[in-house]
Formats: sequence, C-alpha cells, structure tokens
Amino acid sequence: MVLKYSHITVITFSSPIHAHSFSMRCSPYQSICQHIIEEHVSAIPNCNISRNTDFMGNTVDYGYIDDYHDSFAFESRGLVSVDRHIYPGDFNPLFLYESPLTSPSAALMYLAHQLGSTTGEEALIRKISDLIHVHIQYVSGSTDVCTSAEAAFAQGKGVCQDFAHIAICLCRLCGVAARYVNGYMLGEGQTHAWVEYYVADLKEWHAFDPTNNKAVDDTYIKLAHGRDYNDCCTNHGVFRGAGDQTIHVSTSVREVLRGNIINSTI
Amino acid sequence: MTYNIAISPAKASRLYWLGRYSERVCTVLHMLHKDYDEVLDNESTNVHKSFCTRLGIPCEEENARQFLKDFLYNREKEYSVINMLERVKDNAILLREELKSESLAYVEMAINYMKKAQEDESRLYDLQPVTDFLFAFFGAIEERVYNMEVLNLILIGKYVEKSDLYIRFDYTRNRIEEMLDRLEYFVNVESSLCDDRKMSVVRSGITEVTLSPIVLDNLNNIFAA
Amino acid sequence: MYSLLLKQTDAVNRWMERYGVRFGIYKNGEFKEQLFPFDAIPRIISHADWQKLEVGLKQRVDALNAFLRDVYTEKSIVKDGVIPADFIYSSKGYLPQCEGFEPYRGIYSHISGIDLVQAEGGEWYVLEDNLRVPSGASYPMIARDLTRKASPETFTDSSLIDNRNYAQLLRESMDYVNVDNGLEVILTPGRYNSAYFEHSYLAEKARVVLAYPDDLFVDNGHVYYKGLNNKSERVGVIYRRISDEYMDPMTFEPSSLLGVANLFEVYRQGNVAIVNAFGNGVADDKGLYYFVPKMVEYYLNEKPILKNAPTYLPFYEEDRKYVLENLEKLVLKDVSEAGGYGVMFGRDMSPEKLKEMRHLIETESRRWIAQEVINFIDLDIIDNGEKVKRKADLRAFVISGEQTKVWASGLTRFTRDSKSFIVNSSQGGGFKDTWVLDK
Repeated sequence: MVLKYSHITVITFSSPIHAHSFSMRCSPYQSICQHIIEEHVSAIPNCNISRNTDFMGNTVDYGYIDDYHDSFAFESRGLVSVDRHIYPGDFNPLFLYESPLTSPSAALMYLAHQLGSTTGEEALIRKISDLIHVHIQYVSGSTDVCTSAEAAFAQGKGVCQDFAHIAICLCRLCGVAARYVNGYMLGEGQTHAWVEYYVADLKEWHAFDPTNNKAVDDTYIKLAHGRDYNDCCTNHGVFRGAGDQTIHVSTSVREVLRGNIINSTI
Repeated sequence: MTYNIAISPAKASRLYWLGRYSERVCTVLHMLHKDYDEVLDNESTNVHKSFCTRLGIPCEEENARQFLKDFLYNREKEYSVINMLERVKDNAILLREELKSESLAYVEMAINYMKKAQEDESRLYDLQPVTDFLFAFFGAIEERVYNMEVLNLILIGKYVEKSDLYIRFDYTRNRIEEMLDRLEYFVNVESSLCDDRKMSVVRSGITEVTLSPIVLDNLNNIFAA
Repeated sequence: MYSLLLKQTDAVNRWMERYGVRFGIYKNGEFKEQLFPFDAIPRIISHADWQKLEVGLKQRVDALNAFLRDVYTEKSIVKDGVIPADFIYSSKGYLPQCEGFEPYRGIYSHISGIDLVQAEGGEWYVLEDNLRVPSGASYPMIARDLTRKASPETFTDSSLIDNRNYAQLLRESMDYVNVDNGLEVILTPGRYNSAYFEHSYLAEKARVVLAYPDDLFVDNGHVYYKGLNNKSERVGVIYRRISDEYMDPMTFEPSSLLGVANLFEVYRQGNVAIVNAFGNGVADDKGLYYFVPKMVEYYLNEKPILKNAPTYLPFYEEDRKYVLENLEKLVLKDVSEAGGYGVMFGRDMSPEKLKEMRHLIETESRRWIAQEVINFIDLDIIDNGEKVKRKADLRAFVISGEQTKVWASGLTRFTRDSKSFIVNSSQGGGFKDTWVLDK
C-alpha cells in the first residue's frame, strides 16, 4: 500500500531558550519492506538538519539552534510504499536480554512460565497478546514514556507502548528474541508501537501489534526499532534556559494507492 | 609541534578576571601601605572609613587596626585580600594550559604565603612577598604565554582594574589618562575580541574640568560584558 | 643510585607544594583538594624486566584493541566459543550503540593503563586493565620534572630512560586519529573532578585546548569549539575525561549536563575521533579480564607474555566449586565495581559474611571473580623519617597510534597504611617515581 504521512512536532517554551540540540526519529525506516518514494524534513527556526543511521539502522535527524527562540517545530512528511513487515536478518542475542523498560517482575516471570510449552513463535506471540488483553486494559494517559513493562503490568492499565513492552518481556522470557517498534498507522492521529519477534527457522523478523491483537500489515509505517522505547524515541531535546515546555504532536497517514509499487517503479 | 589558539567566551572571562583580581591585590596592598602610616600615627583615626568609601565596600569596623586585620585575612568578608587571592587562584587554576605550570606556581606561592601570614597574624609590612610573587607571576606569563590574545585579555583586565582604582583614589588626571591610554592600546590590538568602541564610551565621561563618576561606571559595566 | 635525591627530599617536597600537585577527593559530600603524597625512593625496574614488560604490554593492548574491534563488529570470538555471549551482553561496559561501527583508524583504546604487581618470585602479574579513562600519568611526569630540579646530579649519574616524552606520545596518538586536521581538545568535566589537575597539566604539556562541556556543540554533522564572537573551530579529536554514559544526553544518560548533545551521531559518522573510544568498558570489565590471555592467543596467535593473577569464574561450575571450597584464602571481586571498591579478602570475612558471600556466589555467579592472593614485593618508603615496607602496584601506560608504544615510566602507587592491600589514590595512597634502567 502506498501511504502519505505527515508528522508535526511543535514545542512551545514559556520563556525563550537557546543552545538547543534536537534529535528526531520520525522518518520511515529504510528497508526492502518500505520503499520511500518521497520524503521531506524541515524545522522552524531554520537550521541545518543532519541525518545519520543509528546502531539499529534507524534514521536520525538532528540539529542545533544557537539563537534564542520560544517555539520549535519539526515536520517529517512523505510518501512510502509498504510491503508486508517481514525483515530478513541474522539472530541477534541482544534482543534476548532484558533492557531497562522490559525487565521482568516476578508476576511476569510466572506468566512466562505458564507459556513455556508453546511451540512456534507465531503461536507464542498470539498467546502472549491474548494474555495481555486479559491482564491489561487500554487506558489512554494511564502511563508515560518512562513506564516499564513491570509497572504497567502491576497497575493493569497501559497504552500501546506498555502492551509492546510487556509482550517483548514475555517473548524474551520464553527464549524468543523480540524488539520494540515505533511507527505510524493508517487512521491513527499519533505514533503507535508494536513488536517484532524473531522466527529462527526462517531467519526473519515478523511484526505483531499486541494493542490491536493482530499481525501488522501494510497499513503500518515503521520508523524505528530497538530494545525498548528508549532506542526509538521520536523526539529528544537539550537546551539552555528556564521555563516549561509544552509539546503538541500531530500525525496523519492517508492511503494513496492500494497494493505496493516497490518493483514497478524502480 | 603546532598549537591551538581558540578562546571560548568562558575562557575570555576567566582571563579578564584573572587580570583584574591579581592587579587589585597588588594595588590595594600598595594603597594600604600609604594609609597605614597614618593609622600608626593616630589610633583613633577614621582613615579606614574613607578607604572603604573609596573602594565602595561596607565598613563595619570602628577600629582601624581591626579593619586592617579583617581586610587582609577575614575569609567571611568577600572583599578581603585573602579572598581576592583565592579569586586569582580560582581563575588561574582553570587556565593552567595557557599560563603554564611555572607561572601558576607563583600564584600558589602567593596564596601559601598569605595563608601562613594569616596564621601568624603577620603585619602588613611582612606581606611584601605577596606583591613580589604576583609581580613575578606577571613576568612569568609574559614570558611563557605564547598566545598573545590570551596575554592581552589578562592585560586588559589588569588595566581596567588599575584605571578603576586610580579613579577611586583620586589620582591625578594625568596618571588616570596614562592608564586609560595603556588600556586603549591593548583594546585596539585585540579589536577583534573586544569592541574598541568601548574606549570612546569610557572616555566620553572625561571633560576638560571634571572626571564624572560615569567614567568609573562605564569602565566596569562595559568590560564586564 | 638515589641517595643524592633522598638528601633532597625536603627540596622535592617544596617543589611539589609550589606546583600544587594535588588531586581532588570528596569527603562527606564536600570537595577537597589534597596533596598527593610523594615518596622520593623510586621504584627501579631493571632493563631485563622492562624489556619483557614492554613486549608483554604491547601484546596485551594489541589483543584488547583487536577484541574491541571484533566484539562490536563480527563477534567471531563469541561465535568460535572462546567467550560466552553472556559475558558480553550482560557486561555493564558493553554499549550496543557502538555496534557495527569502527572508530577512525580502528583504534579503541588509545591510552591504556595496565595495573601490574610484582610477586615475590620476581614475576609480574596484570591485576587490571583500564581502557576507559585511565588517569595518573601526570603525577610521574611532574615528579620527574621536580626531582630533576631538586637533584640534577642524580639524573646525570643514573642510566635510566628519560620519561619526559609522555605528552609527546599522547599528542602523536591524538594527531594520528585527528579527523581532517581539526582542533584537538581535552574535554574535562571541570575543576571539581578528582583528576582536574591532570586534565589541565596534560593540556598544557601536549599543547591542546582544554575544553569544558559548554565550550563544545554539534552542528551540521561536526563538533565545534565555541570561540569568541561566533568564531567557532571544527574539532577533529576529543581526548575526553568523562565516562561514556555522560558524554551525550541524546544517546546515553539523558540528565547529563557534562555531555555534548548529538556528539555520538558525529562520532558514528566518523567526523570526530574520541579518545578513548566509546564502549571500551566491555574489555576492561573484571569478568572479561579472565579471558584476556585467551584473546592474545585468539587474535595474535601468540603465547601471552604477561600473566594474569590466577583467576576463577564462578560462572563455570568447576571454578565455582573451587571458589566455594577455598573462599577463605581467595580475594573476591565484584565485577561491577571500580577503583578498589567491591574487593573483599576471604580471610577477613566473618563466618556469617562467608556464608552470605557463598550464597551470592551461587545465586549471582556472573557477578563475581575470585583470585588467589599474590604476595607482592613490598617497596621501601620513608614514613616519618624511617624506612618501612609497603604494598605497591604499577600502572603502566600504553599508547596506541600508528604504532603501539609503552611509556618507559608509570605510576607506582603505595599504601600508606601498613595493613592495607588497596593502593588506589582515592583511598589515601601515595606515589613514587618509576625508574626504568636502559642497561
């Protein structure tokens, strides 16, 4: 499917700040599953935007504004042709180890123990997702970006990020490598999170959306993956100056064309 | 071996204040010597009060002898000579790579001497080595600092301080003008670092007959930036 | 050899005071600077010993650099089963952010501090590798400078190798990795760091800029030094004296005020060299120490020249059994602690403590290493006018650039307390000059 996306981050500061560095992960992940037809990033106040690929292969756009300013806006928009989210790759043990936001609690270990006998990665992720829906209720605003799998599980409430963290924690406890994915989704007004799990026999990463309890299809645009949310953070900023900041983010994803054009246009 | 010559704003500020504080210690000790004779002659003198007024510092001591002790050694008083020496050291220690360890050693010796003098409650006359060490320090940096911008920023601080104190202590017009000329020389040399229009602002307060207090204010405000 | 120098002890101390040779410590939360006690009797290393040490140190550091290159790229040493994957991935010093990237000119540890002790039989043992921010080189530098001033005759008569080239070695290494001939800086966290004296002294002697975190910024894919009036200079190499986790709030500890935002991106793009590289902690982890002789064999196909202290990894069942049975005579180290902390002697433990540690060894076996206690050769020091013996170690400095070179000197630290075995300067030790004989 060909999708047109736009993601705008606007930050306003209660008093002017300066020496402002930013780092954004809100451009589509470059891979054979996602062909980027067109993309554009821009910032206000005007500044140099540099691009790099991080250790996960994610695209990072970063820059610096020296002068005083009281608002900052960053836009990422473009057209991307999405195929199925299946990523070939070698096994990486890193995704079997716990990370700060996915470290297990006794309750999660007990849950994983019950799943122990499940065979096949896909069957496992489906079971995990079903189980999460038994224990966790989706309540928007019930957690923040620092909430760990353990904490969200303990309070029985969470958002997509928490569903993903818990699923990753359980996969890893069951010996299946899993990673966090941040992205956009058709019809969603904000960024979404899901998981990729490693299918050892096929040497492929497959994607599953525990929040919506379904496999990820071509209506999703992947931005970044990592051990947990911390590796995929869409917006990081460091600046000098006092005062509060208010962040407003808006995302829109529209369908432009059904089917994908990966082979036909190149 | 080549060397690097970059100076950050923070470093420039340290150089400037290093110049000011080290000059302040030397000149203030000199001024004290001049007034101290009078204290010895007359116990009940209020000479220390006018000394404080000129320096723009509060005078809490009734007695001139007590004042002298506090002014030299009291760490509770922000303006005491020992604290000013600490400020010299605070700035100098952050500039080792520019000043060189050999020059820094003189600051170290000045402060060590002062600490010893504080313990022994030494008389003012015994503090001559502090001035000697600081003069040696000025000589050492002139010899060892290879980046002229670094040296000139210290000298700008030094001559701002000297002009400031000459104005406060009512030196003659000629002496003050001489000092401002020296300052102007270094400001002109470093016009890329230090806006040379500053000098005309400073001098605008000097008229044919009077030296308005605005000269002092301008001198301090303009160069603090 | 040093009798003339000893007569000048007072002169040496006066010079030390004059130069303010200090290091900072925190006591009850307050920063204090204290003089680093210097003992005028030098440690003397014979020419034959040095030749062996020099070759052994180069070999060890070359192997460690090869390991770091491998562990962040191919990981063949793990794939070939020499080191269990668990020792890499659960090491605190392993930084996944460094995966798939090789720093400019392939050097990870530009400045390595290898801690050694000499056992009573004369054999040298490596106690620890320091590949992150090893400090201490400035003290022997200034000690030699000042002892030469106090007693020049000593040095005209002695046939020892001149060690006054450390700054030059450092500068050569920085020049070698400097990207496109940019500005060279030493990055210090500031005056209240325990090694601030060293940072400023090395900047002076190597003639590079001493930069504070606020002096640097990242723009347009490069690091710049902020000059006066917006005259900024591009930086080509940063010898940083700040640990990895505080270096870039965007990639590591977000609350760090000591770092330079987005520095890590520039580093990964190859636009600036960082001395030492990021992620070196994985190789000087106390747990990985056990594997260093194996690295020498694996990467260089050579027999290791320097020995490790006999070490056991409770992670392996056989070793665990031995450690549990012999804990009373071993020294136990917590792999996650540094600087002399987390080091416990079995012989000092109460029966309850032994029981507790045995339990921890069984439940958290990856966390510990155990070593045989080595009987070091004690060195003479002058304590209150009397010659007494004290424990001492040697930190040797190895500098990697176009070639790997060993500085013919080092930091000899000794314990001032006769009962102590820990020579770390943060725990109140003193230091000596180290003489390497050239014949």
